[in-house]
This record gives sequence, C-alpha cells and structure tokens, in this order.
Amino acid sequence: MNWLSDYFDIRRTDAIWTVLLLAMTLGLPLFISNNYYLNVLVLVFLYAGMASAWNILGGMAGQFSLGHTAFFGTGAYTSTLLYNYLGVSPWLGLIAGGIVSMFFAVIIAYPAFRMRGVFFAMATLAFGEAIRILLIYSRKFVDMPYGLSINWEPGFSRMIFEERSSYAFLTGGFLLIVTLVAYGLSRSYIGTYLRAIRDSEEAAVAAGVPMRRYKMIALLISAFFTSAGGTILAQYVLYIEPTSVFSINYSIDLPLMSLIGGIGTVAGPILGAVIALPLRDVLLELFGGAAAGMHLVIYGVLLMVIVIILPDGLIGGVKSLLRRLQRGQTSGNRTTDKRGRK
Amino acid sequence: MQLVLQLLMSGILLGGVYALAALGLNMIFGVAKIVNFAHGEFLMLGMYAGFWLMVLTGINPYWGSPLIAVVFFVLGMAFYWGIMRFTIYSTELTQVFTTLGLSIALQNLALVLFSADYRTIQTMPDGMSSLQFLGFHLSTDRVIAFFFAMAIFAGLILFLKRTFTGRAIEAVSQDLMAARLMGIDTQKIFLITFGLGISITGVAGAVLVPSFYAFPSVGTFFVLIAFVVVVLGGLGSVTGTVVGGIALGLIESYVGYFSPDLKEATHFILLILLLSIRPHGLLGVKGAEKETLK
Amino acid sequence: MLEVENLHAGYGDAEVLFGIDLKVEKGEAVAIVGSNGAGKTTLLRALSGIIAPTQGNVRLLGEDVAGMHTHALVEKGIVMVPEGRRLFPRMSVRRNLEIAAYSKRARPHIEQRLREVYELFPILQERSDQLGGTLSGGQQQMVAIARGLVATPQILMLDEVSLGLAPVMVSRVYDAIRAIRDTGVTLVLVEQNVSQALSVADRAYVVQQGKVVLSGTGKELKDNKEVRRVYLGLGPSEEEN
Repeated sequence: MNWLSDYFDIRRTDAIWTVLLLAMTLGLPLFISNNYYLNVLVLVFLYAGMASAWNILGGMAGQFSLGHTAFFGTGAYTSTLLYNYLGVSPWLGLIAGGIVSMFFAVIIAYPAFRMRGVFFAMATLAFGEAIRILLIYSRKFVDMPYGLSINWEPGFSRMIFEERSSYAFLTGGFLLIVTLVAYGLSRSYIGTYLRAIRDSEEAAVAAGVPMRRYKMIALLISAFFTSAGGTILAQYVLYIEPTSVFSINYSIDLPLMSLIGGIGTVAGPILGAVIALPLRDVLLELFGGAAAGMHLVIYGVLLMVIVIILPDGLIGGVKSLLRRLQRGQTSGNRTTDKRGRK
Repeated sequence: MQLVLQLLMSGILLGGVYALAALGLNMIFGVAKIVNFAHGEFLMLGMYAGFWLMVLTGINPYWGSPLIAVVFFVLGMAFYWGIMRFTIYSTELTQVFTTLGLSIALQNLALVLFSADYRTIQTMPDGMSSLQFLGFHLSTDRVIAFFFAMAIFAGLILFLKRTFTGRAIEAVSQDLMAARLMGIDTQKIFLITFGLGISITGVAGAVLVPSFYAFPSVGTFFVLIAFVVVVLGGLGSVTGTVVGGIALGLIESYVGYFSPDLKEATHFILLILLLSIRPHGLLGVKGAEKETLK
Repeated sequence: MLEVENLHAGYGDAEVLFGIDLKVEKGEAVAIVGSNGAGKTTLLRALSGIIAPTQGNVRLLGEDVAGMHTHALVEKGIVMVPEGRRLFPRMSVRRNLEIAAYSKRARPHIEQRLREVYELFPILQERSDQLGGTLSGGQQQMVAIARGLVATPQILMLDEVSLGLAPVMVSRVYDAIRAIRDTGVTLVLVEQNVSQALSVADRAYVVQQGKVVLSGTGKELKDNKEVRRVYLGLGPSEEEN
C-alpha cells in the first residue's frame, strides 16, 4: 500500500465504507428477487452514481450546478439516436454521449465559471432549460418523433437485459466506478485543489492553484458520468422524450441527494440517494392516497427542515455529534452562531 | 410601421407586467442577499388569491388588491420569521435549497387544494376587454396591470427614499453591520422587507390573473422571467427592475412575432449571456453579484 | 460610567478575549492600545453588540447591558465608529449622516447634531451630496466620526480611526477628536497608533492576547519602559519627535 499512500491520503474508515459499498452493489442484486425492490435498487444505484458525479463539481469544487439534467438528457439522446438510427451499441453510445456532454460543458463553462454561488446556479439552471427547449425546437429542422422508443431485444452488446437484476448489476457497477473516481479525486492532490477552490477562490488563486483548469476538470468528469447515467436509464426504461430526460427534477434531485447525505464527501451522495428515493416512495404510499401531490408537500417541508438543521448533511451531522461527545462538557453548551450571537 | 408600433406598445405593457412580477424578488435579494427560488410560487398564490376573491365574492382583483396586499404582507413576514430567519447567515446552498423545498411544497399544496385546472377570470364586461388607442389594440387588463405596476413602483421609490424606515432598508442593503451601528433593528428590517416583497408579489399575481392562466406550476414560468428581469435591470436596483422588465417585454414582443417557439429560449439565452457579460445588468451596481451578507 | 468585568468573547470556537476588566468615567477619553490581533476590535464589537460576550459583565451607569442587541445599545447611547469607516457607499454624505439619527434617542436632535458636525467638519457640508463610496479615506473617516456624533452618544467608541490614513490626515482627525473630547463627550479609542492615542487620552489600557496587561494615565504609560520600547520604539530617555 505504500506507494499508493504516497499519492493518496487513505484512511482507515475508508475500508469500512468500501466493504459496505461492495456488499451493497454486488450482494443485494444477488439476493433480491422481488421486481419491485430490484427496481428501487436499480434507481438508487443510478441516482447514487449520478449524485456522486454531481458532487465532484458541486460538492468538492464548490460550483453548485442546477443544470445537470442537460448532461443527463444529452447522454440519453445521443446513445439512443446512435442506436436507433445507426445501430451503434449503447456501450459506445455511452462514450459518445459523454463526449457530446463534455462538449456542451466546455461551452457553458466559459460564461458560467465567471460567476459565483447563486448566479452560477441560475446560469446552469437556465442552461439546462435552454438545451431542452432547443432540442424541442430542433424538431422543426430534423425529422424526429417527439418520443424515442427502443425495441426490447435483450443482448449484452445492446445493453438490454432480460433480468432486472442484471440492470441492478449494471447500475451497481456504474456506482462503483463513479465512487472510485470520486474517491481517487478526493484523496489526491486534485481533491486538495478543488477543496481550496471551494473554500476560497481568491485564496486558491493567490496560492497558485490553476483555478480554471481544475474547475474544468471537475466539470468534465461530472458531465461525463452524468451523461453515462442518462444512457443507462434510457436502456432501462426504453423510452425517452424531452420532458422526461431533460426534466428539471434531475437538476434538483442530484444536488439534493448530495446535500442530504453530506455535500463534498464521497459517501454523502450515496447515502443521500439511499435515503431520498425510498423516502419519496414511502411518502407516496403514506400520503399519495389522500390527494395527488400531498406527499410532495411533505417532501418539500422535510427538505427545508433537513437543509436548515443539517447543513452538512447526515455525515456532517454525525461528525459534529461525535465531536461534541468527544469534547464533553468542557466549555458548556455554547450555542453561539457564526457571528458569536446566541 | 403600424406593426412595429403595435409590437412596441404591447411589449411595453407586457414589460410592465414582468417588472411587477420581479419587483418582490429584487427587493428581497437587494436587502437580504437571498435569491428566493420560491418567488414564482408566491406569484402563483397571488394569482389564485385574485381568482378566488373574484369567484367567491365578485370583487375583482383590482379593487381587491389592498386586501391581498395586506394578507400577503403578513404571509411575507411569516415566511421570514418561520423559515428564512434561520438561513440568513447560512451558505448560499442552504438558502437555495430551503427556498426550493418551499417551492416544491407550495406547488403541490396548490395542486392538492386547487387541482391542476387552468383558471382565469374575466374582469371586464364583454366588449371592454380590449381598448382602442390611436388605432392600436391593447388588452384592457394589461393596461390596468401596467398602471398598477407603475403606481407600486412609484410608491416604493418614495417609501425607500423619503421615509426613515425606507432609508433604513437601503442602509441594510448596502452594509449590514454599519446599519446595525446606526441603531437600526435589522431583524425588523428583514421582516418588513420580506413582508413588502411578498406583498408586492401577491398583488402582482392577483393583477395578472385576468391575463394569464393560473395553475399550480405557473410559478416556474414566471420565476425564470423574474430572474431575467432582475439580472437584466440590475441586481438590487428598483428602477432597474422596471427598466429590465420593459426591456424584456420589448424583446419578447419582437422575437415572439417572428418566431413564437423561440420565445421561451430567449429568456434562458438572455440570462446566460447577461450573467456572463454584464452580471450587474443595466442599472445595477458593479459587483453586486458578488455580495453576500456581511 | 462604563464598567467591564471579566469579559470573554470570540467567534464561534475561537475565543479572543479572556477576561477583560476596564472602566470608563464620564467625560474621560480612554485609549485601548495593543498590537494587531490582541483583541481590541473584538472588545469594541462585544461592547457594541455586534458579537455577544460568552462570559462577563458590562454595566452602563449601573445597568447591565452585556449581550444586548446593537440597536438597543445605540438607544442607550453606546455608539461605535467601526474599523474601516463603513460608510454607505451609494448614499450621499448627508444621507449617511441623517440615517445615523435613526434611533429614537437621536432623532429629535437631528437638526442640531447636523449643525454641530458641519461646524466641526466643514468639508462635510461642502460635499454633502457626494456619494460615500467616492470620498477619500480621510474624508470618509470624518463622515464616520460625524455619524457617531449624530447618533447622540453617551459614550463614543472609535475603532482604529487612523488606519490607512496619511499622517497629515491623522493629525487632522485627532484634532477633531480633541475638540470632541473638549465638549465633554466620553470617548473610547482603540488604536494601533499609540503615540497619537496617548496624546489625547486621559487614561489607557494595554491589551495583549485578550487580556489587559497594563493600565494607567496617559503620562504614566508614555513613561513606561515596556510601552516605550514595544509600542513607541523609543529608548528609555529618548523624546518623541
């Protein structure tokens, strides 16, 4: 392990997380056979992977994008178009989609990276919506049906599977790869640069961090994997249309999950996905019957509460709880806020 | 030429409406430095308020606007005191997601309470719904909404410049700590600002419902327009919002004539362009986009 | 008039003041000196309500005021002129001055206060329509001090008024401070420029690392060997120029 620890800052608790993750992604699909739960598993793994990808840009580099649906939809559309019209295998289509997404990412990077915080969020939000509208508008010039269907012909090279558990392995593998990348980034010097940029851009630049380059790196990686997620979903659902794959919900869900779990951490987005998706379903079960949309009212309120009480997500909350327990009653329960006011 | 002028007039009227819709957002942002992503939902609630007022009591939103203004003022204060007060010193991410959470909750609350049906009301007796002015066709409702916008705008400017409370609001928006040192109770100012901002937004919605359909997710359409107006006109500048609104109205009027499908896209593209080239907008202060609550 | 006892304060987990004791009598000018980071500004912030003390007492004329909000303290007459001036950049000089009379305490006297500060700083009247953000450092400092006066203080606290100013401006500012002191206003001056501070102060406290390490009259401190060496850069019998 020695040469690895020269370049990567590996910690003991990482081993625990790794074991948990491997057990989850490799074990659960093996043992679960109920289709409903397998579906949950497929989606949880997929979202967890994409949330992790978002987190690389939004959590580690601190550039919180509300436009990631653009990459998701681009991935879905690129691979589906290539498959339906040119017979290209979705495995290659995935790569192609990733490249197209990275291309879009470069285009939006130049204007967007000049802004900070909320304005970056607004710009990316606008970007996500713009791509969707432009796609719909492009149908005036290119003859394409509104929704695209993929024929169900199982085959590994076609990325279409008979068993739902195979899809669970697919998205599980996706999650493992993204996590590996996120982990590697986070523990390497790149991660340090990204965190520096996140915490204070001015200080980072003054310290000689090539800010634009590293922001771009984070963006490109994030875009690529989100796009891959889009391809995978298209192959799972076998039908896409602009409002479904360019839905603003993806742009909101991915940051949301990272936030709930613990933004900026490697495990956070995964934890967030594991909690948020089933939570929504549970809420739907409990409240959906009463009136359409009731469960989302509760969801929205819960969201507000969680975000205010746990600004660093669950992982942050647990960490600060541990810290407070460690310190014990040394200086009393001081509840001063950032400004020192009670 | 006739066409150009007709588009000009409807563009200005539309712009006034857009400015009104964005004013509340700008106020809250200017003072508390928070972008309220639930802004569209408050507008939506205002629209429903105008609708239900008319349907249940027969009072049209123009006459009913004082009542709506008061109700929404209280709502705005409750919004601050119950929710935003806890995020004032939090990170931007927290603020964004708090307002996003509220947005989700409110949209779906409207869905539950009012159903997804599209609602609108007719305020003018038949035949009076459009005016003839120098040979141009103008929608009566839009003309009235435009005058409401101008009246509210004028009132707001007077309030901000001439009263001590108004100047205190300006002070808080320029330097929070210095304002506190002047003896200004900043909690009270935030309460008033949120109250005022949401009140204006509620009235804006009520006055819009005769010309636009009300439905639970109408907020998402308007909030983006409000963003564009605020950024175009200048963050934190009240006059800027009006200028920005009218400018957007004009742009949309002309673009919409030649290519109706691209109308929506223009909003987004305009926003991105503005944010990258001139984030402080036409009348805003340079660097306003980098300000946070100090 | 102002009693500070065992004051502790800080920012979140970082404590800066570790038990400050000091007194200010009515009509006095008290200087608080010390090097950078000693906690002087934190002290003023704790006294003016910008941050809340974690421990200790602050009494104004016997009344307990520790932990009160800034606006309440301004109503009681505790007014601070902050470090870095902090004028409202997009308000005119006149507006900057007028808003300082916001409190119920100050508002009835606004016209009189404005006349007084215009007399003290005639340049403010000349430039009364100029925007605060466009003034020079020295002019801003004058506006800032004037604002403090308009707020009708019982005790006026000045935080590092000489910071960033050219020496000639510093002299002028301190001339004004002397004039203010002569009208009977109680002053607390926090300064890194020790010689100027001691020249106008009746008494002074030296603060190091969050504690008071030395106190005495202006003259006593000027003769003190440590003070001379550390803060004035003088040997035991040198004279200041």
